[in-house]
Amino acid sequence: MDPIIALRGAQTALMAFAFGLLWTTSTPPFNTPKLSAHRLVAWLISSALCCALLRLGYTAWTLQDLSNEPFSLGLMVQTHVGQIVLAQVVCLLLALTSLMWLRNHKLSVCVLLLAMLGSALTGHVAAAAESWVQLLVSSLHVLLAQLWLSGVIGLWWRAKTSDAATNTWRLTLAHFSTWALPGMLLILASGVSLANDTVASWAGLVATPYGLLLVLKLMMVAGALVCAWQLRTWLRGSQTSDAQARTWLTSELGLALAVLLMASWLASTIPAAHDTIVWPFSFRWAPVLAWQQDPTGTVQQLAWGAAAGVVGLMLWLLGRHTFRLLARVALCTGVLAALVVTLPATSITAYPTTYMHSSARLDVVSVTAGHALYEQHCQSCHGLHGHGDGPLAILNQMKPANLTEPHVNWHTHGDMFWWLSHGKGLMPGFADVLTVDERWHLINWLVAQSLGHEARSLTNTPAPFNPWLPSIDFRFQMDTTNFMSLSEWRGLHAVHLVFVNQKNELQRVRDLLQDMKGFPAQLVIVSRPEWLKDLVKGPCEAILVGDSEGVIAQAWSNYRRSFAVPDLFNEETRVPRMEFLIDRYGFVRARWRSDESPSALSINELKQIYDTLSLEGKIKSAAIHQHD
Amino acid sequence: MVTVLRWLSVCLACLPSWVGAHAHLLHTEPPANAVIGQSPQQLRLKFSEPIEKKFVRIKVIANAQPLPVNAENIQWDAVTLTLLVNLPTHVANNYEVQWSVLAKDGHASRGQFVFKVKTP
Repeated sequence: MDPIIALRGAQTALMAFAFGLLWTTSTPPFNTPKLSAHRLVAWLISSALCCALLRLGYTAWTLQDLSNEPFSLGLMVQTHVGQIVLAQVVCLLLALTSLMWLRNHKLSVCVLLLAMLGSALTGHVAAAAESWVQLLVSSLHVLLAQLWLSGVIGLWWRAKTSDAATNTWRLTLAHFSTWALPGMLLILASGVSLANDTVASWAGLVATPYGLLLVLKLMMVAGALVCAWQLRTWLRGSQTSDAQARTWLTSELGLALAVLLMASWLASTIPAAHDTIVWPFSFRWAPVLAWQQDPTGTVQQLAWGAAAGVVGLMLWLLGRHTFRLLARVALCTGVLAALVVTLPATSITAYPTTYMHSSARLDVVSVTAGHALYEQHCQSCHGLHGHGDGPLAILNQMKPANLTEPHVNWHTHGDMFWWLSHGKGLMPGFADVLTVDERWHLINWLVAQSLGHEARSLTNTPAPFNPWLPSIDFRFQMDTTNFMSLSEWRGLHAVHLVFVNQKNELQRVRDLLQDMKGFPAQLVIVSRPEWLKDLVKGPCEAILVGDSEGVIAQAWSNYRRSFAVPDLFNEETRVPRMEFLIDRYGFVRARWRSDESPSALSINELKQIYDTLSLEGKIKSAAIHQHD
Repeated sequence: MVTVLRWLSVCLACLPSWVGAHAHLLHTEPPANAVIGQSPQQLRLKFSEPIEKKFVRIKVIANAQPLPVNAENIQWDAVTLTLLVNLPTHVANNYEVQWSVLAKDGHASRGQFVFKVKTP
């Protein structure tokens, strides 16, 4: 076990113990801690202090290797965690001093709380927080969870040290209950928000170690809540005896410790959002796709399911007073029957690779390689343009899939990877012919090809809050030593990408160079190197990309199609000039072709569009992961 | 007191890694195990969470010879969580990159990846 992890965990647990005991022994009817509790708290704080100091020392020792500097505590203080642990040491010293010498237990409670806040700020979610809101949510979650644990421990201590006759722990429980319920609601709400970032998808929740641990943790929390509910009903004067209530409390403490065990495992497990998902089921719930595949069948089965549910409900309503047991059985049967009928109707076939992320990014190199592989291995059946009309297919009267239709993008990339590897219908598998990377390149080309046909719906005005078309990344040389990628602007600002395939279109580029200064967008111009030399740099700091072999323009020409010029059979792949508006999250939002009207927007219109786009909130969608 | 200590020891055993996550290397440029066309001028290592820029160690071995990489050649892009490593001009065809970083949560992690250049 990593000593740092153990020390951190021990310090947190000791502080929670100390805080819990101090809190419950200093609330009514005991306004001052008893001597025995007092000594125990002092011992716990001293132990937490030792853990913090050992943590500082051990981390500084391990940092020697990373910094080439000799061992010193100063090394540790140069880190984010080091500064917080040092602050915790000061807080713990203050807590000990105020408890032992100043005899001010309220001050001890306050500084202990500050030390616990430090634990919340050193968590990995807090460290990875991208905004103040995220930091606040993660800190609140960890701090409240520690307070809940402290409270349960304190209550348990109070129950242990008070007999049934005096029953003083009931008063402490009443005090604890007033803030426990809103506190737990906040813990759950902040937990959901954190899980949204770390799990990212339902598939991640079901099919990754992180997701399964999280589900287990939630089950423990649910168990603890049941115990808390029983204690609450006891407080309100139910039939429950004092001994039973103590058993519920001990159970809640056990479950609280189990929750912390889960939390500790979670903290050292790869978050589901970054893990490879191996889907364990042969189906997945996708109602929209199921409906698209078989609209009539899906509607029929849904209707049967709804009917079963309604019959069950009606029977329960009719017999709930006279035949209670039978009515309940009828309701359960109806609901179960509804689920059994509707779940298959809203599910589609899935494979172990369904949620796998591509190992090859959607970039020019991958799309170009994929195109070459398509010509070599797929074209004979799927046809020159992917329409499913290859000579081999016609000869053998086969009907391979039309790869230009929208259904290509309805499937996950992982589904395509499975079919490509293991075959589908009459298509053989290519696992022995193509490497894993080659299969992903091929999928990237298929995706770009299909998206290209969808790109016909792109207009010259971006639809607000509707990103769907990922940009195709490319790498270029900035100067003799530095390289850049288009994707490097993601998260920073938008990109205005211009392709010039005819020399007479350079005038538009000159206008942009002159007038795009101060835009919240980076101007990137891709053209032949010899034409770019003629351009005089204007006030706008544009990036000029020499595309000597035309591979960037070729890959991006997938996105040339419009409803006016659908170009289904690749009659004209090179438009004289194309301009693309790429938002700051890497999605193509608008396009202008030089042979369509309007062939370009005025500078003022462009400025207005970019200003509007810059007001859009952060885009969080699975598509980002797919195209990253 | 004995009961409390017993519970405490259970609790400590239950809490081995309260906040002990690692900075995971998500992907690299050039990608691990890739075969690329020319010797890279720059390496990119994208991590899952922020790291301490001061505590980064990168060792690049090209054709069994270590390339000189010092702190000035290493940049940290906090927005994209990417470590940029500028390499000196060189020609080689077998590369091994060994990396060690300290995550912002104080946890050190390390790893290595290899890639090849088709025509040195």
